[in-house]
Amino acid sequence: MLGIKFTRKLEVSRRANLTVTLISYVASPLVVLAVLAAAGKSPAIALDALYRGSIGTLSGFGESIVQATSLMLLAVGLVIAFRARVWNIGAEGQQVFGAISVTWFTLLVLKEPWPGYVVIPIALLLSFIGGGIFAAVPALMRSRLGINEVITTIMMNYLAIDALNWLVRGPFQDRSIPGSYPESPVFPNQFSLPIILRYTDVTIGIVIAVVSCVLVYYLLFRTPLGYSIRAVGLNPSAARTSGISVNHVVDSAMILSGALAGLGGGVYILGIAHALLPEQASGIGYTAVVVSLLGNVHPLGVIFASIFFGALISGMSSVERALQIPETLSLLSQGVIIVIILIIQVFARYEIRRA
Amino acid sequence: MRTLAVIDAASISSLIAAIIELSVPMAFAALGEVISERGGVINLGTEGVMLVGAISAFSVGFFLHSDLLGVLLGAFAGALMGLLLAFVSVSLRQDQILSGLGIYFLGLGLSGFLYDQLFSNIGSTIRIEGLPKLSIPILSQIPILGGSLFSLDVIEYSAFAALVLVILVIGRTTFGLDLRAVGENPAAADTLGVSVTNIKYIAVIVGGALAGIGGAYLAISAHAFQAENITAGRGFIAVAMVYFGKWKPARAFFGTFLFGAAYLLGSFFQVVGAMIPYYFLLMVPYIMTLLILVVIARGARQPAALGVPYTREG
Repeated sequence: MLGIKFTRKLEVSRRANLTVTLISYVASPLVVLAVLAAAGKSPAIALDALYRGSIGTLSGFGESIVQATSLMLLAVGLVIAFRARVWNIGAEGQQVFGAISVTWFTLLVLKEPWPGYVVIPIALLLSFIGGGIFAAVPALMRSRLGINEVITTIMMNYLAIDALNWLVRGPFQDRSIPGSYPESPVFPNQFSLPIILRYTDVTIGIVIAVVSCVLVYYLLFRTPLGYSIRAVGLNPSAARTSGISVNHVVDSAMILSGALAGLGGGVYILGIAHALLPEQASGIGYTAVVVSLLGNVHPLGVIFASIFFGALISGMSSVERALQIPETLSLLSQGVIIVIILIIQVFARYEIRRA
Repeated sequence: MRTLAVIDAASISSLIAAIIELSVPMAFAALGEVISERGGVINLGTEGVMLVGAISAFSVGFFLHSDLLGVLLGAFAGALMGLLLAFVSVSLRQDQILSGLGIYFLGLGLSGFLYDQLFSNIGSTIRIEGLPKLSIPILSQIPILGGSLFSLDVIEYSAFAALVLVILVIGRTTFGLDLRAVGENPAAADTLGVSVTNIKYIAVIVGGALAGIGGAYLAISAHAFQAENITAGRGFIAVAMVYFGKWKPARAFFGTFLFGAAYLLGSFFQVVGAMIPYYFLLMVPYIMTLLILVVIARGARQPAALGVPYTREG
């Protein structure tokens, strides 16, 4: 239709991949500035605020890492699913369910405040399990009944958000103050994740996230399950012929992916929120999809992509404050960034000639 | 919304009318999705397309006081989103799921951004008139059904007209034949001289326009616009209804009426001051979607080449 011919390259070179990724990185902030300019705002002020809010100051840098932490856990989970070509769009609901599990444990199960070094590991483990259980529903629907997981995971997201909104106004609500906000009581101090960078909110969560990425790398590229996941993703029928149980792989990939998202939710609530808030469902699960793409659907790539995106988000909120613009701008930029990445990827994967 | 009227009059007639009004946005989107998927392209971004249609229509309705012109612009905006999806997923052959997600984010962000730009400085309540109901003489006098089925607004009538049109086009025209061939076996269609790319472009663009109309009608029939996410999953439900309808236009179309009824139930309980927590009622449509998918999963056969980018061999 366009008079251009695309031929799929048999082998995508590492260099082409790297170039594409780098271009995406450079393009993303440019996109944001272009959108701002189109909205009639000064790109110079925006650029300054973007710099100071992301890497230019200690508080900006700390906020960038804070933003990157949960995002990294969610995105690396998605890498597992996406590698098996299981399109888990449900990280949002899974992380909410992880946070709900943590709240349930700390507020309702614990009758007396145990020390933090006991509670935190149990709570994080519960968030991991909670996210996995929440992902098991769409996993089984896909593997046993062949139901498109995109639709089911999105429906599960809406369910989780409605459940969250009900819980913070119902069973979990802080009733110590009359007419209080829709929030759970604040957790005892000793349940907060330890801060590792002074004068910032950077917690041990970032270490958990990076270690998770390395473990996922090991899982995907050094274990039989990882091999099966990649095989199913590349060619399900060939994988089946070679004796791999595709159902089992789909289940494992989706549930592990949900478990990591749940852990991301747990790290967020114990590290930053310290209570169950309606803002737990902030759309981070959708941003994680963009991040895992930007990270080239690779566990180690996700480390850089998350930090980059965390910086972008942190920088954007300082731009939003400086120029007094709404936060929907970030959402818009994310949409544009996905489309641009998809378009740029074509240049690495196809040989383009005039027809 | 006619929820209050439902409770006051408590008549079956206005109940049906309310269900139709709540279903039509999803019904349009489902019709669009059927066309797109019969041509082999999943438009997962329908939700985003509806949002863009909604904000376009609402802006025109509010600033230019013409709701119908708004619907037209909504259709046009939807078509543009369809064009973008077609370019990325058909010409560039990128994964349709990811392309659709990109369209969703784009629509979500664009509609929120435009809303903030256009309406955030307006202090007074932001409302529009909505479309007048047109009663068909004699038929609208039929007891119970007449008052609801023959006293609709022009977009609601158009929805039923669009259903008939889509059934005829897919089943009875050369384009429909080409469309189905492209969705089932693009290589064979290509051999017979059908331009696979053109057919897919048309299918996705028309599908986008229909989803745009659906979003437009959603905003206009609500008379008001919330800042973000006015669709609240209706676009995704429309996609699910295409599965439910086994890619048949009429089944997908009327499948959305189940959801119209579910939404009505939600707002009904909200008004009477429910014993059931409000958020559980909000969950009903999503739980219904999951259950329906489980029940319908067996025996559904999708177009053979659905989701697969076409590359001519050799």
